[in-house]
Amino acid sequence: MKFLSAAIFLVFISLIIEAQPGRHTISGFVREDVSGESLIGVNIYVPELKTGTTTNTYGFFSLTVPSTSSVEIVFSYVGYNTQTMTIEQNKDTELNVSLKPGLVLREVTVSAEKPDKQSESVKMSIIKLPVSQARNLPALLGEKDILKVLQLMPGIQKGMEGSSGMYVRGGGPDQNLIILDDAIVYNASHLFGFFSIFNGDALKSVELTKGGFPARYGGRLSSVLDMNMKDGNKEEWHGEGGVGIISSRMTVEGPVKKNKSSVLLSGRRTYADIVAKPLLKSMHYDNTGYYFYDLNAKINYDFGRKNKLLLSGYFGKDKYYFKKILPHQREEGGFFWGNATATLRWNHLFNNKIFSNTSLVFSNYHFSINDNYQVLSENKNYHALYNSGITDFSFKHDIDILPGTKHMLKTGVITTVHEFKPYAFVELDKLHDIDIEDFKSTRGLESGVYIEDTWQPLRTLKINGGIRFSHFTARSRQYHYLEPRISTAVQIKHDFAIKASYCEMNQYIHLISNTGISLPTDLWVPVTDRVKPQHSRQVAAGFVKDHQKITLSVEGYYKYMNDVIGYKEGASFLSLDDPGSSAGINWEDNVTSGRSWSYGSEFLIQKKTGKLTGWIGYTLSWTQMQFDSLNYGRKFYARYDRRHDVSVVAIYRISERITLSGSWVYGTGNAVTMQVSEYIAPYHMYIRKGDYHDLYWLDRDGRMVNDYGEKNNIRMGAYHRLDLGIQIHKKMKHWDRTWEFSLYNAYSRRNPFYYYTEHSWSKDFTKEYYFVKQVTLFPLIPSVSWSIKF
Amino acid sequence: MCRKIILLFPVFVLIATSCEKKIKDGILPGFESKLVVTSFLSPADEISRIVVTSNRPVYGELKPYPSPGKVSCRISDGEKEINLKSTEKGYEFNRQEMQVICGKTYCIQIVNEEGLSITAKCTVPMSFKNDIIIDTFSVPEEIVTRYGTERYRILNGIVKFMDQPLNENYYHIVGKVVDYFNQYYSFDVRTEDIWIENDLFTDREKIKDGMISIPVNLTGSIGSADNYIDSSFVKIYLLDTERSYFLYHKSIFDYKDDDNPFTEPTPVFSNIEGGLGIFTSYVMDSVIFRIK
Repeated sequence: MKFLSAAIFLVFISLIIEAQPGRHTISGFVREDVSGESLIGVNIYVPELKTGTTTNTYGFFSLTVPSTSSVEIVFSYVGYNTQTMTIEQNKDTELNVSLKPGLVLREVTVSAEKPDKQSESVKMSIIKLPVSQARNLPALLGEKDILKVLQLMPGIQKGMEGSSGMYVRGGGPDQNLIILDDAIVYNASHLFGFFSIFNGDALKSVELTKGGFPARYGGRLSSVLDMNMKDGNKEEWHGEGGVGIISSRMTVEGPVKKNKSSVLLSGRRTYADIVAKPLLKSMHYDNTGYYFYDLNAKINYDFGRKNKLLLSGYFGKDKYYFKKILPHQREEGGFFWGNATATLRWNHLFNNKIFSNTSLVFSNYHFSINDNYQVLSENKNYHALYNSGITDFSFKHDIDILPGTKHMLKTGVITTVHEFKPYAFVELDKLHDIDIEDFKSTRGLESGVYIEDTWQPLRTLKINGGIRFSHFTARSRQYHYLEPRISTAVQIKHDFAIKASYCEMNQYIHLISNTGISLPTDLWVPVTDRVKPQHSRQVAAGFVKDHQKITLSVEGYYKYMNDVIGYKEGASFLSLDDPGSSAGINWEDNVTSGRSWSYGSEFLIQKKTGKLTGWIGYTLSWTQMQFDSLNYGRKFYARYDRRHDVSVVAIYRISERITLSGSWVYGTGNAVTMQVSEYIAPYHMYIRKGDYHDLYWLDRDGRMVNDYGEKNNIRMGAYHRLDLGIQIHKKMKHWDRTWEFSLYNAYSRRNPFYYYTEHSWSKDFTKEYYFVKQVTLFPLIPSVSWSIKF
Repeated sequence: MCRKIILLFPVFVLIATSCEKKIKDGILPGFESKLVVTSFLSPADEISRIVVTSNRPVYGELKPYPSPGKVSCRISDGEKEINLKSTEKGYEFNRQEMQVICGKTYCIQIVNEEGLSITAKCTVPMSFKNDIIIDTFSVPEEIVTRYGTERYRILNGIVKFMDQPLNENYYHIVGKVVDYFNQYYSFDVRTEDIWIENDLFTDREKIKDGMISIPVNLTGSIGSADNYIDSSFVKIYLLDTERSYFLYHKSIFDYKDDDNPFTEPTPVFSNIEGGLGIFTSYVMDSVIFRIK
């Protein structure tokens, strides 16, 4: 406490010093030339003073420097031409800068802080992904996916084959905070996790933080994926779109009022239902289909320099449906799930040093199953409807205070009202006189207040320190915690820096899933009296070396998590065969709490410029868990514990017309639990309870059961895969078009999706055999897509 | 239509288009032969028994369960140690050889001729006066006729007993109905089990004001109108058990062996060091209620 007070005192002293006369402020916005799109994270550097700043989320910057006759300022940003300006520095100056996209648009760069040197940034454990990069890499069925590209970075693993779920530094997929224009997205998956819901054409920026979290982030333990949609071109109408094997997309953007207001509309829909129709027809499911769509929309208006209003939204849905009509009966039903978000933001510039953003946010995730069955002759019907979901209403206010070059203060508050609906079930069965209606809903209030400062006390030392106070209330139970955050960077040489960070995080919302794969039935539930918040403490350290065109970063981390959620053995949250019982299931009875340790090292070598660009990433890690009520209280490896994880990504620009790309990934297999033997487990004075369908009940005195030994006792086979792609670009008269041909899993590696046991008999039926089979989901899959830009 | 299919159908479609292959044995966990030991000790038993069997491999050719072979079985109560004699039903000892006493800890050690060995221990719960009663049989013997001539007897009641004042107690309730028939002047006895829902529980789940109440329901066929029951008794057995007894049986009932590869397996509890099975104990109280 004394240390904290002293630190705050020092910060304020330095602030006062900064406020001395003899200094002037240059402030303004940096935008993309032609489109007027604000640029995030542009590096603004004053070589003479060896100091600088970056633009915030809305493209705003403020730089206070000593008064001189003139000063040279360099504006640089990945993918854009660097611009140098000389400014008369005898008064406060408003300066709006437009950067032109660079000649080389398709270079691969990751996490580049300008002047393209990660060694000069205090940030660590951060990945900034240029959206254009996702378009250059080959993808499953040609569907470009931001999350799949992020999975190619060290420290970030995918769950299962084809899944877009992320396991970041040993954390589960529920421990990632995914934000789109300030709105939380709860289920970021289409088609059971095979594709993410994010349409890259609508995105402007993607930044993932996996450690050293600044104080402005909270609510999840393992990562924050902060994405912003494009604002829309304020100068002229443009568009882009594409047609692929299973989906098509189109984005249009343009001015509503030139230089004042713009709009962006982006949509995507799959036609998998059409493609799969012949197969389904052969299986006698004529009226069965599945599709997904998503829609991004944004409109903004500049009320002069000091005020700007932005309204954005996302709407997406997955739907499966079926209909069966027979002479005497009729059945139809299906399920769907989807997200909807809406964000209204007001940017306000108080003066050339204080910028604020106020957001009102709505976010909803909803899942529903329905089944209607009618016996036509009896005029009786059956109807069942199951709903679950979560809805958020949030208020957020953030202030950037830029008193000088040595400090970059951020402070703010966020309050969210969560409405949890773990289930709502209705069953009306006139055939069997069943009429059930059950509904469960609860509210929670989550709040956070933070303050953080990026301080550069010395030319070679940067510190980002902050504190966050988080609070959660649900069912009259309250939790609150202080979360300290600090990260430091010491520049040993101009291109070599050592970094370290420490952070504490808390999570008040849990994702309950007992299937091991991402399914829409996964429930979001709040903490309660019995199920406490999850906590984490993470320390990380490493170094960054920039050398000409190559950057090497090495980082080690240790993360301890407690009160993490695990599922009791045999737990089920949705007994679909017996909805009456599921209506009575309390999820709190089916979960247990434990601890988790995750530690490892991450290596990343990147080449960012030139004809050949790409990176090699390697992660060596361990993730273990311990629950008193699982595995007899012994430690075990998590399912997604992956000892080695390798990614090699390369993009080679042969010419302006042709680009080759490839990626190779390797990962140790998932840890799964498989039986090691079987035996008869007798029981005492028990009565058979009518499970006559179960063939393994030998007699009323015992049951044949499997012995599993340890939990997650075996490793599935290693996963490795090569993807190749070629893009052929052509500049047409009115548009640019690109043909892309790609091979997913080019050498058709049979990667394990899951294992199962199969039973067979010898030809004479005298011998019985059990063996294990592996299911592989995706063999070699070629794809072709066509896209245009106008 | 099964709603599981509604939900998992698209996944099945995807999987149906996938490839399968048999995996190499090297990836599978190796088989380790173990002794499977089962024993439920009680002070009320004249003869205490320990059953020893073996496990078997699950991959490859499925062979019959192997015999554990010749086994040496010893039990100790902390003061003396005896060898158990082998019988058709298992390994036994009687009260004269060693008495099972409440509060005492018993250790067993079993070794077979192949060198497999296990150890286990259990502590017999303290005896407690539960004052078990059967309260309020609302319909002592309601006979209804369904489906033509089939006669059904319906019994409803509540079993009540005092809870032991310990941190956590584990109970198992077993019910039986004993009918004495006088059919064509030939007497016969039939014992029928009463199924009691949630018959395995901890006191935390059920206790109220120091008492525990368990509803008991019996609905069973008593045959055609020609059968005649001379007298009937309901016997309720209350077993006050160790925690290991509770965990073992609960894990058996929660045990799932379904086809879903994405659900977590449900291992059966074991307290046998170096082996499988259960070595546990209980004390028992009972009450008999005459229906007719």
